[in-house]
Amino acid sequence: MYSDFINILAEAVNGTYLVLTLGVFVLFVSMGFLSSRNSLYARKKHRIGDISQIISSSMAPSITIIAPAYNESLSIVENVRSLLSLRYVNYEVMVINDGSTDNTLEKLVKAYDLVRTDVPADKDWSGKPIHNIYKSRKKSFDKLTVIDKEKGGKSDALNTGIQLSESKYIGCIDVDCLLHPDALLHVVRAFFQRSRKRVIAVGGVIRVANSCKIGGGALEEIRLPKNWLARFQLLEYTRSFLLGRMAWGRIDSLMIISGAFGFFDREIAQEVGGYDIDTVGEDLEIVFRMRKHMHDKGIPYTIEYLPDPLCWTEVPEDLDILINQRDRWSRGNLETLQRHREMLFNPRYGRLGMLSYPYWFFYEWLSPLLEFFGFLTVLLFWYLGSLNTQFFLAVSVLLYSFSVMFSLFAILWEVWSYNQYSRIRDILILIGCAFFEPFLFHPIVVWSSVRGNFKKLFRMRAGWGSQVRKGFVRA
Amino acid sequence: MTFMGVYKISTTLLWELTLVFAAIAVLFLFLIFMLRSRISGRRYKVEVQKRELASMVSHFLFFPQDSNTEDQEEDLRRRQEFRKLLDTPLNREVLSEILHELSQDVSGMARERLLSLYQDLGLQEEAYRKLQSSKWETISRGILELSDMQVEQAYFIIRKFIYDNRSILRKQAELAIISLTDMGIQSFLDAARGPISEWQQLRIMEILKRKDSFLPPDFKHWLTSENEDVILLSLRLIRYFKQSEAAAQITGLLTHSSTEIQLASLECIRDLAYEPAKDILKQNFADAVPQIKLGILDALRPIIAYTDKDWLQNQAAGDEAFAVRNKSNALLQALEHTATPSPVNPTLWDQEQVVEETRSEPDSNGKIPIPSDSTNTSAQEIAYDLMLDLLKPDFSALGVDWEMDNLSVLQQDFIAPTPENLPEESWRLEETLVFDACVMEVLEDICSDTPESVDFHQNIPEFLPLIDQSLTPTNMNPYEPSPEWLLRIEVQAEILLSDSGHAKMLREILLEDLEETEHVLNTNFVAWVTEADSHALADETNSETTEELLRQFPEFEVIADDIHELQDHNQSQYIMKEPTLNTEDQKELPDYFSIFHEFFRSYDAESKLILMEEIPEIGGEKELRFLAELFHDPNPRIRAKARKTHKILRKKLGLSADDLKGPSGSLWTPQDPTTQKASTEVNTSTEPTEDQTDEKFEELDFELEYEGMENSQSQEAVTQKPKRHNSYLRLLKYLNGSQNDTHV
Repeated sequence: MYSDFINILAEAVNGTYLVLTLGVFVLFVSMGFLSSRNSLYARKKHRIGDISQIISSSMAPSITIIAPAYNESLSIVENVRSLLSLRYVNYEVMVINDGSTDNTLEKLVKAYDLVRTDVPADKDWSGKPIHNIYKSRKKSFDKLTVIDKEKGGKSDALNTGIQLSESKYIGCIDVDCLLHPDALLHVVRAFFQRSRKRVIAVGGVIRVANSCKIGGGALEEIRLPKNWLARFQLLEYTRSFLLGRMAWGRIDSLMIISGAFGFFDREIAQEVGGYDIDTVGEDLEIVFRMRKHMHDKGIPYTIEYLPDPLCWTEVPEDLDILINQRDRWSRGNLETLQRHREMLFNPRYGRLGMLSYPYWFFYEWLSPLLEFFGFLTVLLFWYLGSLNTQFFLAVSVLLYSFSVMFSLFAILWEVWSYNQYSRIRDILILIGCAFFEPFLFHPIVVWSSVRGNFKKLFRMRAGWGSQVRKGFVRA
Repeated sequence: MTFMGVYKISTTLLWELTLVFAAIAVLFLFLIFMLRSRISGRRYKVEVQKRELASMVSHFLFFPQDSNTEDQEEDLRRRQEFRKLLDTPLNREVLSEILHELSQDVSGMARERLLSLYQDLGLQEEAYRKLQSSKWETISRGILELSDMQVEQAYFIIRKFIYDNRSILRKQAELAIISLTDMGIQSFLDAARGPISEWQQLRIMEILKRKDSFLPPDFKHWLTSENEDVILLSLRLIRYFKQSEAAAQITGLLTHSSTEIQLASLECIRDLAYEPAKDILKQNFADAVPQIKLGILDALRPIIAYTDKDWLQNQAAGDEAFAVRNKSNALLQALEHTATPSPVNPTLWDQEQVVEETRSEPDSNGKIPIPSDSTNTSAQEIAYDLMLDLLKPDFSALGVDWEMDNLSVLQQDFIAPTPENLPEESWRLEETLVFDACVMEVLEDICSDTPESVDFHQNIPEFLPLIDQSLTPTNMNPYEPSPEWLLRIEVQAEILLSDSGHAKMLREILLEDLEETEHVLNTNFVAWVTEADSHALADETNSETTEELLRQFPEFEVIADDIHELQDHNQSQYIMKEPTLNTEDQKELPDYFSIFHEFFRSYDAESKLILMEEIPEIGGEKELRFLAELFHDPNPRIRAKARKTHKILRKKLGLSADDLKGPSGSLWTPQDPTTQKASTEVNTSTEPTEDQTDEKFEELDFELEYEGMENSQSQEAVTQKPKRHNSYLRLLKYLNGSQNDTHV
């Protein structure tokens, strides 16, 4: 009786894992194919035409870059200078000081010669109260607006910017990000290039800026991170942005626009009510909501994804901070999936319901949990002496070789697309990361995800956590 | 039984799959390094080539040569170097890229030189080849390159892609058509049935902005289009070109069903500051959505007056949307800050009044005082805007009804309005004064460069002519009355004067221009009559008056491209008459001289061969004679090349072999004894005869012409240039005094 039960259980476990493994194989191969096609297409297309035409055009749309800042005194002045140096005319930089407890605001006031303005308060204001709005006395900084408000979290800060902005498009970025000088030109082209669909949002690739050299608010030299944790994240970002999102972009099913670099049609963003302040996965949630909104209204729309390396950010080099970040991401996933659960396998939402949502559900949310419990099961079977070692070994090596192969494929596209790491040593290190990542880095990600889900499911109190910025290497 | 493996998946299969993945991984590893090395290598090569070529290109563009022999020699030497470098596809690609990129950044003469250099070096052939590709990205790059480099001959080939299945090519072709033809925008707006992306609209606007001498049509005619994107684009163009006469129609669009069009209309009204729209805007405000309300407030800003204060206060206090209340308040504050109850900003519609107020009366010397810095700068700007407005072309003079049948109109060549069709000049006083102010400004500049003895301010009875007779000696008696028939001709064509200075100057300019560009008709100073004019001329002038005319103006026989048409009207005697220059001019010009003589004295055989490739581009009939001499060069390669070049040049000049055969039947009938001797030797030598070499020459001709030009229109486009060149060279030949060339 006991043996039968064990057998049935084992069959079920094996069946589940077999389906999952095959699913992952199919998914990754499809993603490799789609992303390759999209990358090739994007590269060919972007070689035609000169985006700098936008600069002098009277049609250049207005853009507000909203950059929430919380205790960013170490790098805020340099980062704002970088944002003010973009090659575009019709834009505004709106820094939202979200109740910083350090001297972020003072530094900004001093560096940019800011003064308070007499903008009247809206009695119907839904967000946290605004203390003051600052503008610079200097003409050269007239693109800068600083809003000092009570702490309300990233989503609330972004919503403040969305409500105060009058621009056609809004860009929501992390203030510590370095944008490529031509970033807005690429964004405008992406918004403008469709004739039959409304482009409601534009996202892009995020590159790792750790150890890179900057000067005057711009990247001067691109270097491979010195920290191993950052190196693994670089490989992970390459795989995710160059293969994963590129593939979803190809079939117009992209469900996430990174919080570090996301641009939205302000009208649509306002129609859906801006960012959800009750979730920590606000960047994922707003895209779900905007897509759903457009589907419900029956308006042809799309979300564009830019493969160009336009945004550079600092990734955590500390293990605890990394775990907190991934923990938050997994909680955000769960919250968003929960909130929009009616979309799962709902044909009314087309590819979103039948493909994107299931992907986020089974792969992004469930897969780390299954991995974790699979690992525990193997240990259990090993402990019980029932593990077919030969078979287990063959499956493990198979998965490992597939994982390495896929990472190398990502590095190949990295070289083909950007080739920004000039030293051969850098490429060798990245390849080394591909071989070691499944043993050293991947378990951390899985563990963080399990922790996040555990917190969420058992309603443990958890917030955003914090990241201590090191600041970029100055030239 | 073990727990794992119940599905009986063979372990061997798993290992085999592992091997497959490992093998693919190794392949990726190999590709990573190979690709990296290839990309880096190519990038390095391109950078090196770019550095080398960019410096050469900049020399061509920014250090124009004078027409003296040393500079011409230097210029040719550089071209020769260029040609050598262009042997490799990479160099051609890099150079095309450099020129293409530069074309976006330079303007004026430098841009003209750049476009000319691009075509001189034959880089457009590469772009033509791209059009034959099956890959959309290659074709698209070709179209873009040809249009950006203003290769007008490519129009007919690119036009085919308007009907291509691939939308990206269709869009690219549309842009090229707009770029290459002045009437392209009209045909585009007329034909556009589908949506036009904003990116496409932006690029169209940028193309039109970059077009020199573009005369914008009245875009208001497309405001009634059924295509919303056409309306949007038209509104944007109206706004950019400040076509204030369209303001009334734009006001009608404020109730359009599309919010986007409403917003674009509001932007237009704002930029045109159309005051009559104020009441309509206020009426529409109540029922508008907040977005439109904000647009209306923006549009009201330049035209709102103190009398509208109450209305604004109501909006600032009572509107539901905070943004609207806020904006109303801001506008109210701006209004209150203005001291006088007038609009916040002066409007275009107030400009006349402002000009009136700020206008100064001419002083006792007839000068209009130039406003000092302390005067109202906004009034100056407004006056300037008004002047621009006044100078805007009026297409109504063409008598073309754009709405009726634009497409058919576009098929015709652009016809300039004849003086009879021009509307009567009915300038108002203020318009005249503004114009006079401009004239005075120009005069100030002229005065500063002229001798002190000449005082233009003393008496300026009329604007034209501003010619000081003492500075421009002529052998014509300015007071001698011209016969009536000649006066009629003067209306149709420009007459070249016979004074030696003019002829010499013209020759120098032509020589310079011929080297720089093949666009002969761009030289506006070349006397020009239409075919119809020349027929009319032939009909009107009897033989007596013709001879009389020629006696007075020997240059007259080269005044037109199509003057050879007169031969068909039994005017051969008239045409074949020896042109006569005055004796002074004849002394100045050598009887027979080609600049290539000098180079060939010192160059080695290889350089001569390369140099000969330049001859068809810039050579004339003198070079034909020069090449004929080379038929007897000791080096057989030079002889063969000379024959080929001779044939190409001859074809380019539109001369047949018979044209060149004199009474002796030689290829050239020079009066120069050395050439005559050479030509005699040609016939007696063992070299292939002219007829035998024809086949070889055909091959070379084939290289010069684009293979893809299959339809007659394309062929026409290709042959236009040699035809123009032909007439140009005939004129040049005449000015060089090659009286001995009996056949034109």
